[in-house]
Amino acid sequence: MIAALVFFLAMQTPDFDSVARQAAEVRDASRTDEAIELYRRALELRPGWKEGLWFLGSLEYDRERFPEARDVMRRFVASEPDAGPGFVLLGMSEFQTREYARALTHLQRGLAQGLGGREEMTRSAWYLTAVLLTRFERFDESMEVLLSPRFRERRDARVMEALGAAALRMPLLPAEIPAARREMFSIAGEAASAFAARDDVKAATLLRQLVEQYPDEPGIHLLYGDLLMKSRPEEGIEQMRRELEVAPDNIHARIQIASEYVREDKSENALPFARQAVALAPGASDAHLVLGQALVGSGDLAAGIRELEAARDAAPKDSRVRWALARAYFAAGRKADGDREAAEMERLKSAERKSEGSR
Amino acid sequence: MRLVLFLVTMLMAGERPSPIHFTYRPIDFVLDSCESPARHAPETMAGGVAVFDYNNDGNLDIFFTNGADIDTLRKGDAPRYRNRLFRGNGDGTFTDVTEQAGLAGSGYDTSVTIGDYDNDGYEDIFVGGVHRNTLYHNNGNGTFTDVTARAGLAAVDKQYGPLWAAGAAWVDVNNDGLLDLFVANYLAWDGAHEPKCDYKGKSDYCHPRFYKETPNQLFLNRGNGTFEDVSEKSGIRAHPGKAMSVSVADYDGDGLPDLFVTNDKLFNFVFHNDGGVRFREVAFDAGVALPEHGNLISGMGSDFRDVDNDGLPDICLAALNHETFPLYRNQGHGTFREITSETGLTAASDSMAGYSVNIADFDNDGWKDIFASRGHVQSEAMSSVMAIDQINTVFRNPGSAKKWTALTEEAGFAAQPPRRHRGAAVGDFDHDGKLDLVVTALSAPAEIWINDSPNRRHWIELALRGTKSNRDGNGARVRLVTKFGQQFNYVSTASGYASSSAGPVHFGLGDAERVDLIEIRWPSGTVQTLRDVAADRVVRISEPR
Repeated sequence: MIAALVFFLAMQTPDFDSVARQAAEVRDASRTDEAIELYRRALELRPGWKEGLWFLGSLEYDRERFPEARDVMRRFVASEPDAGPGFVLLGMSEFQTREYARALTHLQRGLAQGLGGREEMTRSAWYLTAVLLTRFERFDESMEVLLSPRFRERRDARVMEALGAAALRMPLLPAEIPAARREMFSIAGEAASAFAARDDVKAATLLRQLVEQYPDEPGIHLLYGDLLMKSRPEEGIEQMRRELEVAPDNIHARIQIASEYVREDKSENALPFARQAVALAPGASDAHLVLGQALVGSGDLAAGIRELEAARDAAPKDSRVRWALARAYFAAGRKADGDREAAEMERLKSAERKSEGSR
Repeated sequence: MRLVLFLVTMLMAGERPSPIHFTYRPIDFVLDSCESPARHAPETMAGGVAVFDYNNDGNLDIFFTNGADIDTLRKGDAPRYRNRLFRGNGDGTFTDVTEQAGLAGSGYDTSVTIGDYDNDGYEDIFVGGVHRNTLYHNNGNGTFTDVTARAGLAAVDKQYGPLWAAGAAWVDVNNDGLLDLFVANYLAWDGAHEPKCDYKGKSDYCHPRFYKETPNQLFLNRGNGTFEDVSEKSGIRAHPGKAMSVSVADYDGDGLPDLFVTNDKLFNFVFHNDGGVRFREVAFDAGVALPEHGNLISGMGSDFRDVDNDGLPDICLAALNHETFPLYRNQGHGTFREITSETGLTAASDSMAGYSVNIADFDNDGWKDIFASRGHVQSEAMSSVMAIDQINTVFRNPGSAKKWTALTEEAGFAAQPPRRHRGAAVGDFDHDGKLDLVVTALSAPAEIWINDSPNRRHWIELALRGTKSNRDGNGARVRLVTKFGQQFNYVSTASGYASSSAGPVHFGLGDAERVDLIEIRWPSGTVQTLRDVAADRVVRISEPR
């Protein structure tokens, strides 16, 4: 015990201790530039000093010197791979340096590891994660984040715009939204929020306003169609068709139209839209899913199963696909395959149930 | 007279009368589930009701289950918790005969199913409850006797402890002429360890995932007043769930009754009867484990009857808001396809939460409609967030490729305020040939809905009496042919949520004044036919010996 203490003291060179102490003092006094310089000197004396790396990275970020912050945080996470805050700060820095793919990866990793009660940092990290998901056209995941309880109480203008972008399925970062369209994004966000809160009256009012104000903007009819599809499917389909006039390559509108036709047992009507969706997005599991369902519904079990298998391969954790595939296998008399998919689906559903809250 | 008044009122108002219409009539019963701030799960699940003829006078009677003190699960002497039996006067009014009948009960009762288990010609009552079930034997003199222990139905499950029966069905699983008993058990509940669930800062009833699954039970009737627990060897016990209801039909025409069980936020079950008192769970193969969209829903009450007159029993179940009330069409060959959207029921029911669905022909047009008792599972405290209290709805079957129509205010149901409706049962209370309803609601008066739909269509009711088969004819498949086509029904008193409808088998005949053919396939295998039968009456039919 005494030997360990002697060794520890020997390692703490007077210069390092002194510089580190000074760095902390000036940091506490909000003298940021001086603190940055002192942390740099301390880290020259002891390059692996984790606390120093963390504070230096944070100060560089606060000073909006994002490349420097990024580089410091890369050193930090290399030495502290289990530190959620380190990955989040790295991701936030990379967001600012426009390294979006890396930023998303690091933000998600940091959030998964946990931020230990840092509420503001957590909120910022989730917000940036959501806007990056939108940037990478993962709109549904983005909406899931922005509509989650963590944003429910404080869904400010910034969040509403981001939500609007995801809801309109436009892969834009908030800074990229044209000034003349900010209101449109905000209203879309409000509508999506009302829709999620099951306030259909408010959502419909807002969406009708959007359709009247911006009839030729992509995403507007799509969002309105989504709202209408359950309660008034004919009008929902009509809105989706209008979306295709505005945005002829829209995949989601085709999938929605095809899905509704499948639900109504009008597989022949669904097939052209589903085929176009697969052609436009060969890697989209939803497109393969609806094409598979339409083919099964039209009696072409073998082709339907091939499409459903493609959907499963594209999204192996999607229980909807497993359910559709299981039923197709059963219909084809492939009981063992059906049982396997059903079992996998039960496993996936069991995992989903654990995260459910209210009904 | 009532019909004329209704028509005159509608015409004066310049409105086209709704094809199905009911008029409210009160009955002196308030469902008291002992709602408490602790939000114990059973408080929101009470409300089973039965329609049957306990004294064989030809008038339908009503039995209500009721709650108890939630801490003790005992009714005590408090009149507020008594179960109630009302004798039908035959004109849509009722007389309370609970005391004479000895049916006030003692525990926290939730569900009821009707069946003559000893074939003595008098309907008996099985009452399912929280941690305690009761079998009442009908003595035939207006009184009942609790025979639960003697019948072998009082044992506590050695593995799971006391169970909570949310539903039950009398069903002759082996066609031996004796009604067996299937008990649909909900979840494992212990009042002393109730999970605490806050939604938006308010305490409310918990999501079912906070409780463990429990097994359903099957009791085989030995024919001597006692039952054998065959849950294990029949294969039923191998599938624990969170059952909310059971409905019965022979969906694949093999002559053996099968069972559809809804589960709350779990996969539904189909127990296919393989014969020899063995069941196989085949919901995935049959395509009814969950709706087409693949999301688990809050499966509530259910019914299992042919809605498209193709001779194959179809399935409908109630669920909560934004889960729709899924309707599955039996395609034959043991598989079903969801037709909720193509029938318009997705759009019609998406904003609704329901407990009971009862499939019956309310406008006598020859196509069975669906009644839904509506209300949310959450407490009134959540009213600012979602529609907790709701008005009942009947979905009218147009009988062709057209979409079904939801009739709510149009059907007269808005004559009562929105409530958390629960159990519902169907029968013709006033002998006018139109099916009436009784519906319960949490912490509110029960509602009698007298059917005064504006039509003069014909009808027929068949009161079956088994001889080789069970005396109720439970499990008989009835085919009826008129000049307008054929219809089918399957005799089962299990219908809706926690409830039982045990009146005669009802068929609307449209404009047909006569029935060309009635064909009854009894559970014994006997096929009986009647030809050229006059409409607009109750026909009593005994199984040939």
